[in-house]
Order: sequence, then C-alpha cells, then structure tokens
Amino acid sequence: MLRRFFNFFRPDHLEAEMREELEFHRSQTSGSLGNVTLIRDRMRDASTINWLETTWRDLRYGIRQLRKAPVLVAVAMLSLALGIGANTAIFTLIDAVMLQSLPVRDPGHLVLFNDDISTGVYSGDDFPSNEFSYPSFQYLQAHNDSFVSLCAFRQNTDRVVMHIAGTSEAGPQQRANAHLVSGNYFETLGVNAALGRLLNTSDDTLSAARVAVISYGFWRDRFNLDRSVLGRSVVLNDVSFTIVGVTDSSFFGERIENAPDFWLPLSTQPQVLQRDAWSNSRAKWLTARDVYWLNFMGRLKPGVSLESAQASVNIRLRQFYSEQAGSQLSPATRRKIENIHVELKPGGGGISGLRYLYSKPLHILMAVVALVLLIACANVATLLLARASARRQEFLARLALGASRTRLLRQVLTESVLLSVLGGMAGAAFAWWCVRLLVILLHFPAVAKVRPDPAVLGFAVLLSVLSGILFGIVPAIKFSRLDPRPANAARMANFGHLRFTGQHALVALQVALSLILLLGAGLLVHSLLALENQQLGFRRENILLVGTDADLAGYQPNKLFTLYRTLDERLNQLSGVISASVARFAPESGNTSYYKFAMAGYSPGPDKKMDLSDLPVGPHFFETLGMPLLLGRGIDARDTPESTPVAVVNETFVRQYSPNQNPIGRRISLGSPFKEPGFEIVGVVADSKYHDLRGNVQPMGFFSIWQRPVSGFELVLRTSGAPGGIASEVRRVLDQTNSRLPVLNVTSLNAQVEQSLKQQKTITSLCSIFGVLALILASIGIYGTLAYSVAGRVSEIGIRMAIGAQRQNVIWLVLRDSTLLIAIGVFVGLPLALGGTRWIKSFLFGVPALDPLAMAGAVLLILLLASFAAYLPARRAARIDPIRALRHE
Amino acid sequence: MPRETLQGTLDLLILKTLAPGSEHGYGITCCILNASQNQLRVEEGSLYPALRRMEADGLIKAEWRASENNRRARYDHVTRAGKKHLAETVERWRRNTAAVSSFLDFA
Repeated sequence: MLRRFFNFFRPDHLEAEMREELEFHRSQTSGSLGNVTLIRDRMRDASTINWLETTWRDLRYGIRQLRKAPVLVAVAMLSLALGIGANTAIFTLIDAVMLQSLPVRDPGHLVLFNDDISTGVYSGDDFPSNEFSYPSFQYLQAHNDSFVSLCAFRQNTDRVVMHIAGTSEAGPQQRANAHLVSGNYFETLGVNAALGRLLNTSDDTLSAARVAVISYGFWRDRFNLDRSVLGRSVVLNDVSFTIVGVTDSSFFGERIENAPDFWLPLSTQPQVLQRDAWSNSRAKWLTARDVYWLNFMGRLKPGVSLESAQASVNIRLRQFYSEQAGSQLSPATRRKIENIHVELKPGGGGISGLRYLYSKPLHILMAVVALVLLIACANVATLLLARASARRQEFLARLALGASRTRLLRQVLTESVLLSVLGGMAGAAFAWWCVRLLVILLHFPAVAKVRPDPAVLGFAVLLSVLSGILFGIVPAIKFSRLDPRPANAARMANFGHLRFTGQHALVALQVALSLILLLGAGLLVHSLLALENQQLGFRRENILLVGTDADLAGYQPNKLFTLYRTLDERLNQLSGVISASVARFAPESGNTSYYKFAMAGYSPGPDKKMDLSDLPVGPHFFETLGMPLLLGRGIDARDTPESTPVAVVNETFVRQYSPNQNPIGRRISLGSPFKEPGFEIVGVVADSKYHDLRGNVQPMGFFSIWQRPVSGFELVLRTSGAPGGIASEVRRVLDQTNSRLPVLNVTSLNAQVEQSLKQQKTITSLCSIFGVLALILASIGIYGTLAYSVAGRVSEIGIRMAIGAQRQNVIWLVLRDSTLLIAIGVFVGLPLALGGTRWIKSFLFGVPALDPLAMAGAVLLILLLASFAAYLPARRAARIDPIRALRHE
Repeated sequence: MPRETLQGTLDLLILKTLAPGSEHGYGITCCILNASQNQLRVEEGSLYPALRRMEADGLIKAEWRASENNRRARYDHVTRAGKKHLAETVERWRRNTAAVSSFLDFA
C-alpha cells in the first residue's frame, strides 16, 4: 500500500521503469509485444492507488473546466464565501460563548444546581430552587447519593476592602474580589495549585486559622510572582487572613466573568461580610435556615446520570425541608415543599453571563446564516444546472465512449466540492473579518476568548465539503441520467413548455427561504420601532446621569444624609440645570431590587405575590424625570431621617393592592410580616417603564434615599441644553464635595435607552442584512434560470414571433413560468416562516406573531425584486429577431 | 492458455517459478512454458501487470540487475509473505483439483 502511495507521487520514475522493463522483454523475444500502451496502463493501475490517481485527474480537469467559466466561479465563490463565512463567524462566537469548558479536571462530570447568572441572597418563607441555605448544604453532604463530592459557594463575589500587611495606608482604599467557597471547592472542581496549597475541608471550620487562596492574576499583578507570598497576611474587611496558595494560571473561578482575587472558606462569612451589612440579618448565614445564599456544584459519581442525580437531590431536599420544619409543618408549607423542583445543569462550562446574554441571539443568527448558506447552495446549484446544458454534449460524448455513470457522477461532484472548497477558503477570510465586526456590533466583552480553534476550523471544512455535495448532487444526478442514444438525446433538448425540474424546485426553494428571513427581519424591525416609540412614562430628553459610590470614598452609612443634602443643594444651583435629584438605580439601567413587602391592614390571598420593586430616590425626583404625580405628593426635602418614613407607589401598585381604596395614608413595610412603623404612602405616581423597556410594569415603591441611604447611587439632572455640556460642572461639584468621590459613569438618558436597545438593534440589522442578501441571491437564481431557459428557447420564440406573436405575448410567455415559481415559493415559505417566528418570540415586542404589516412587506419585497429579476430575461426574449433566430437554427 | 484458467492460477505459477531464486519477466514466461511442456503460455499483457500487483501486495520484491547478456533487467524474487502465500495456494489447489477429479471419476 505504501509503495502504491509513493508511486502516486513519482509517476515519471514509474513510467521510465515500466518502459525499460518492457523494452528488455522485447529485446529478448525479438517479437512484437502487442498493445504496449494497454499493458503499461494496466501495470500503472496495479502499481498506484487507483482512486487517488483518478481523483487527482478529476481535480485537474475540474480546475481547467472552472477556468473556462470565470463569471460562474466568481458568482458561486461570492455566494459560498458569504454563506460559509457568515456561518463560520457565528459558530466562532458560539464556540467562544457556549462550548468552552472550565479549565478543570474532567469538566464533563460537573453539575451545577443553578447556572443562572443571578446573584444575591434570598430570605423568606419560600423554598427557592436557585439558591440554597448552609444547613441544606450540610444535609446534602451527609445524604449524598450521586456525587463524588459536592461543594458550595456564595452566589456572588464580594467586593472587600483590602489591606496588605507591610504596605502603606495612603491613597484610596484598595478593593478586591473575594469569593466564599466551601473547603472542598477546589477538590470538587479539580483545580491545581500553582504555588502552595488550595483550601481543604479542615480550613472550613469556625475554629480553623483563617487562610486564603489567591488567583494567579492577583499573584502576578500584586506580588510580581514572588514565591514569598506564602504565609503573608492580608486584611480583608478588617479580618486578617494568611495566604496559603495560588491557583493554577488558567483558573478564574466557576463564573466566566468577575474573576475573584481571593477564595475564602465559607466559615469566615460572619467576619468577612459583617462590615458591608446595612441590616444585621447577614451575620448568621451559616446557621440561618431561611437565608438562601449558596449555589452548589457536584462531581457526579461514575455511571450516575444527571437525571438520576437530579431525582435524588430533589427527594433529599424535600426530606431536609420537611425535617427542618418538624412539627411546625403547615399544610401550605407542605405544599411548597412538595413543589420543590431543582433542575441540575451541566457544570463543565461554569456560570457564564456571556452564555446567558448571547446564547439566544447567537442561536437565532446561526439559524439565519444557515438559511443564507442553504440559499447560496441552491443558487450555486441553479448556476451549475444552467451550465449543465452547455456541457451536455461533452457528457454525452463521454457516456457514448463508455464512461460509467458513477465515474461521471464523481467527476461532477469533484468539481462542485472543488468550487465549495474555494468558496470555503474565501469564506474563512471573510469569517475572520466578520467575527471582528460582530464582536464590536454585539458588544462582546474582552473576557470571551474569540479565536479560531480546531473546532471552528473543522466546522468550516465540513461545511464547505457538505455544501459542495449539497449543490453538486442535483446537477450530478441530471448528468448521470443523460441518455447517449441519438434519438433520446435530441428529445432532451429544451423545447416547448417548461417542465417542473430540479432547477425550478431550487428557485422556488430560494424564494421560500428568502421569505422566511425577510419575514423574520420584518417582525424584528417592527418590534424595534414599537420599542423605540412606546410611552416610557417619563421624558427621556436632556437628562444627564452620573454614577458614584460613597462607599469608595469611605463614607459610613450615618454620614450619607449630609452628603445627599449637600449634593442636592449644590447641583440644583448649577446654571443650566433645571432640576437635579438622585436615585439608587438609573432608568433603563437594567438594575433592580425586589422586596417582599407587607401592608398594614391588608391580608393577601394565598397565591398573591407581595413583591415590590424598590427604589430609593432623592427630593425633586419626579419633577426631574417628568413623571406625573396622580395623587398626594412626591418625595421631598421634608423626608429626613428624623421624620416619618414615607413611600410613593405607582399606579400598578394601587391597582393590585389597593384597588377600591385611597392608598394615601396606608403603611407598608419591606419584608413580611408587617413591621412597625413601616413607610407611609404619601403619593401615587403614573406608571413608567423604569427598569427596562420590554417587560410589564411591576408594582413599584419609591422611598426617600435620605431615610434609606445607599452608598452607590446615580445623580439625575434635567438640563436646559445638551446633557453632555454640564458633565464637567457636575464632576467639579462632586470633587468639591469630596475629592475621593468617584465618577463611575456619565451618560445621558437617551444614550442609556439606546444602549439598552443596542442588542435588539444589532440583531435586527443583521437579520435585515441577511434577509436582503438572501433576496439578492434568490434573484440571481431566478435571473439565471430564466436567462438560461430563454437561451434554450430562442428558436421556439423566433417561430412564435414569425407567426405573429406580439412582444407582450413573448414577455408573458417567459414571465408566466417565473410567476408560477415565485408563487409556489411564497405559498411554501409563508407557513414555514410563520412557524419559525416563535423562535424569535423573545425578541418581539408589541407586534403580533401574525403581523400583517411585516407579512405584506416581506411578500411585496420578494414579488417586486423577483419580478424584476424575471423581467430582464423576458425583455431579452422579446427582443429576439425572428429572422436571425431561425437562421441560428 | 485460455484466460479464465489463467486468472486464478497466474499468481501461483509466478510464485512457484520464482520460489528457487530471482528471475526477470521474460525468464518467467520461458520457465513456465518449458516446465509445462509448452502447454501454458503466459501473455505479457497479463504477466507484467500481475508482477506489479503482486509487488504492491508485498508477495514479491524486485531489483534491477545485469542479465546473462549484460543488459539491465528487473529481477523479481519471492518475499517471506509470498512464500507463505505460495504454500497456502498450492495446498488449496491440490485439495480442489483432487476433489474435482474424484468427482469426475465418480460421475
């Protein structure tokens, strides 16, 4: 075999050897050898790998054939480059977002109890399925059926104030990311230490010496990879830790973003998180039964499936909660426990915000570009079929000379795969450019490792070969069906009525696929318009937003009131500022805080959700944003820490919780049951889409930020001119008030709204671009098919005109066929498109799935462009000179 | 020699001829012709492709040497795999012919 392989690469040597050998034979016999060429042929066949040789010959022949048709090659390569390139680009992003594994041992066996990016702590009577308490962790560890090991970690990373012993105190406070994890965290994940050791179970006890593990990045940036870092002590939130190890350089935690600098044992939670606690309840998380703050990750035992692990985990959790409730188990609680359902997720990819944000848009885009590739393939197939007529004589001759049909099939497929590989190479270059564009358009963060890797490369190669076979198969079958007998060959010449052949099916298919893309794009455009033009409930023009954080300037909670009041006075005096206020979250920032609440004298029904979106704001807030007050008053300067705590609620709140009653004067409290004194409702404000543009309006409560201070807040200013013009003034005010107050981000409300629409816009414009691209490809297909059919019918049309057909008759003759094809395409495509719209449902806003506007638009656009593409060859047909046409025959 | 009989046995004839030592293509035809008392005549058109095929299959190996009359010629000899193949083929041939003969005698 090996020798045959080598012979393939040195045919000259082989030929010379064969010639000499036969020459010797002739010299011995002095007679004739017979057909020497035939002998040599058969010797050659025996000495080399036959198929390799013929493939090579097919390839060379294919290249010669393609060079004869530069226009076809150019159009086909362009179509394929677009199709394959776009697919490869989107796949590169999918690969970066969804297919990368954590750099740990055997990530395939890891499972997460919650792979959502949500963070935070829940405290209440429900049994959340996405966060867990410390006692439940202990129970699951004690009753572990499915896992080699099970670890727990805080459902967040914490910003902590850091002081490294032996460095100076000067300058702003240093902060670091700390992540609380159970002692077996690193063992469960399978992470190695770059230096020293990682945490173990004996570190995770209340009596253990407090130790910390640092990340490789932190070791490099802060300690310059100094090995003496082991044993150094570092103070985090006033608690001293000893550094015992550094993690592997590739490890960045179970979350893809927000890499921790420190990993600390869970047992240190009471000390570490104490300082940050505005409320006292946090201190006892390790023992609290109703504080849910942990996420779990387990390594499955060999042979245990995710499903069986999930079943057993759910049973154990129900057991645990029943045992915990003990004799106090009420029927309502029992029902809640029975309804506990935790869904285990594959954990090998970690928790990825990228995946959460981009998986949906990327899947939609993947489907879109797959359709574009299909259309491109159909397009190239139509072009090849059109060319097939030109090559019919060649293939007939080959068949007549005894070529086998499979041999011809192979020749045609070789040519088409050659074409698609050329297209694929152009596509790879296009993909590289496309990826870089998409990364910018979709606002991909730098943490995503977007790069072509073997998976991407393999994908592109596979795609090229597959599409080559896909668009090559129809012409190939057509060729192999040719009949070389003269009578039949003549009959197969194109004359008379159009028969519905593979080529026409391909055109109809292109129309149908384009319609799907166009309708999707139409729906998205319509949604975007609806989103942009909706009533927000506040005026978004001329609002400047400036974020800051008093905690970073070292303010204690009790000093915040003075800060708020100073800022209120100074900002409202600025010239160019009509009104200024503060709020915990900026409008349309996507940040929200929900509270379970209770209202004095109100007992909710059993299934009534008592959830409130909570927003502390400063005086003048409603005037600044232009939110109309419907009843009572807004939050103002009367609401100081000493006066009665007050709240303003929105319309939805009143509709849900105080429908037939004046809400003014009622009192609510955050947390349930009601706790004195609560907040007195002093006003009702109109509904607004404060937090995001898409969702329904939730019950909202506005509180006085003077009475409920928060360290991080946004300045909200209504300006008389362009908001940007006043930004430097605002900076100056902050600097004068306290030079350590940071300016976190400066933007206008309009820009903020635009920002929150950006992804939707990108998806919409990409889908529109691809839709138009598909339409153009389909038009080329229609044009090519008709032009080819007209070329084949020149003599027929000539005869028709000679015996009196008018120009419009001829035009109609050609258009009739194309109209039929387009109509078939539309009728097939429309139901498919309507079925497909549910995939983009989550991107649709304010439009029905059966949107008549988008449907009419898409169909009209297709009819228009397709008719135009069909008209050109029809007009050419009408210009045929009957005399020349007949002479041509 | 009719083609169909040759088809299966050509390899056997070649291997048997080459078994004692190496020989060139022309020598092989002479050898087979003589040994079979002018009964088996191997066509060049069959012999040379067969030699190539058997070489590619590793049954024989070739080298260029000077011939008896001092011309360069390609000599083939049997490899170890070829010897094994020869023994098996001879054994099978004997069994088959014996079976067919006994059948013919019986009938």
